[in-house]
Amino acid sequence: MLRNINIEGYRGFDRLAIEGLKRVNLFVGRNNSGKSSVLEAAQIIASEGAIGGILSSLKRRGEIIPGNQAEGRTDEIDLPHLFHGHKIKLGSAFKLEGFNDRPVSITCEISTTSSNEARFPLLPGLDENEEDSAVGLNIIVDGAIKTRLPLSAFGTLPVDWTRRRPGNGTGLLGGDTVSNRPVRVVPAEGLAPQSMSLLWDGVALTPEEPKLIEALQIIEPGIERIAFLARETARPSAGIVVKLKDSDTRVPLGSLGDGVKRLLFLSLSAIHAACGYLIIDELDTGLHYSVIDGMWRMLITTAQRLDIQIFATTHSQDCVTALGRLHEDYPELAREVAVHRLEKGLAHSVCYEPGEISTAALQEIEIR
Amino acid sequence: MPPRVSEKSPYRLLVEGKDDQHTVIHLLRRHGLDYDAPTPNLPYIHAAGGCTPLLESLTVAAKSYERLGILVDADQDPQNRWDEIRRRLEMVGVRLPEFATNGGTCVTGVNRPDSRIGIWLMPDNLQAGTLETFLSRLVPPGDSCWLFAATCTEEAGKMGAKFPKKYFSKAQLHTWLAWQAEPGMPFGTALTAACFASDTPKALDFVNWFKRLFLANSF
Repeated sequence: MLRNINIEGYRGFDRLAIEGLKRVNLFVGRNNSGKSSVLEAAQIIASEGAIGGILSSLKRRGEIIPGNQAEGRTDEIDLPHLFHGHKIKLGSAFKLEGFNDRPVSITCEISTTSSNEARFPLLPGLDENEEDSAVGLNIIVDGAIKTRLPLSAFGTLPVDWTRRRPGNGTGLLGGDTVSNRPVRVVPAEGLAPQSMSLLWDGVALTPEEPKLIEALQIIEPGIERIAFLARETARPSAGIVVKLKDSDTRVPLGSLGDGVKRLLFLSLSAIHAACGYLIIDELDTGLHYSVIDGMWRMLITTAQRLDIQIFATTHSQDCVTALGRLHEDYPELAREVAVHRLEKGLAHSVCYEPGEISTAALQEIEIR
Repeated sequence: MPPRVSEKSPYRLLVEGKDDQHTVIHLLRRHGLDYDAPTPNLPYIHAAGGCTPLLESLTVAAKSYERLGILVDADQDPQNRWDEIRRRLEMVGVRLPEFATNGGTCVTGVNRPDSRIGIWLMPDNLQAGTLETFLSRLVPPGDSCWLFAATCTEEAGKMGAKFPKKYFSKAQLHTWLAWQAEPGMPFGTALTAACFASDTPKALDFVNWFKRLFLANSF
């Protein structure tokens, strides 16, 4: 589990030190305080340099420049936005460090290569002539250059590189981890139906299936079983049906509301993050305040059972004050959680224990 | 009247109860700081509901606000009260001097640039007492009834009145307020009505401490 994170030169942060990380970490702060950037940084550190893992985050931010198949142009990452100041030149770098039982340090640096320089490990399938292009992004993990990715003249990075990686996990842009610890991301808008279906395949008829049903019962106690049917459709929960107690008619998951879907996304992702990391944007989106207590208990017990470290963000005061109640009612669970508040311009986060959350609620001190 | 300063303000003054809240607001108004027409940087004044809840919230408050003021009664053992505040603030990295500063204490806070924390122990950072002790000293000197209020309170005590001895000031003060032009005004109203003087040295000390903590460019 990561204990501390240091960020330098990444996105809006000149420097940011986050200390006191626990098993479950909730990041709060105003809009534009950098919560999503911290999640991205945690993701890159947890996956030891796989910046491809944040591709979907980049898409959401509009930082992927669409290509044009007819003209043979691939999608490209508008790279400068990852760097503090939104500009890159030779020598620009950002550095992400995490500390657990051993430190992990990832530096992404813009530099040149020449054919006289030592050969870096290449991605198989890479045309050797392309390696000689003038400027590239070096991804340096623990002091060793792991990958070199050529940049276009505009400072963009072709996303196409993901398809050139070998299948065995050294594709750093592709999002695989080098360390074999899974890194699962749950975006605010949830998961695509194919992804959910694949995740379900890993759970069906395993000992985790009843745990997943328990999670859904937080909102709908009548759920007995769930099944994923084969359907061709893009809607996130289409094809997922549920058996309710005292009824023989199976019911589409969507008819039970957004909250159940969200708990399903969270549970499925958590099960697949065992012994690794779970990254959750907008933790309580779609959840009514009355089920947030149950959500916290489920999330923390799952994280304990499956040895997961969680990084999550929220905008909601309910989500934070629920931790105060958790501290009163289930202190052994609450002590696994730390709340980290980010403020623009502060070079370190402010860390709160759940005991302090309940005091804050009593005294009307806003922490979010 | 509740202050119009937002409770989301990064500047906060913690007080024990409503009496303290109103005393501060009305005393400040006599010195040109008006919560009904607030200047920037006026802190939100939060009544914590007692000394114990206030002290328990100190670590969270110290971490959460850019400028934090703490106003508590010294009660019977001022050094004890000071030591407890000091112990709690140490837990989040705030260093207080060994003794309260005459004139109010201001120190650097944590986490944020130009963060400040200030403490005022009622009545005057030195002696035992409460808000009422502070207010008692604002009674205009030579007031014809103040001494008589003391005599009456003593007599009442001898006749079996139930107030504990430590609350003598409080009893005397409320007795005196019962005899003003508008009998029984609450403290804040009495301050505004100029029953109390507002420019005794200690009152000025308090206002200056407040200004140094929240409004001045440096403390």
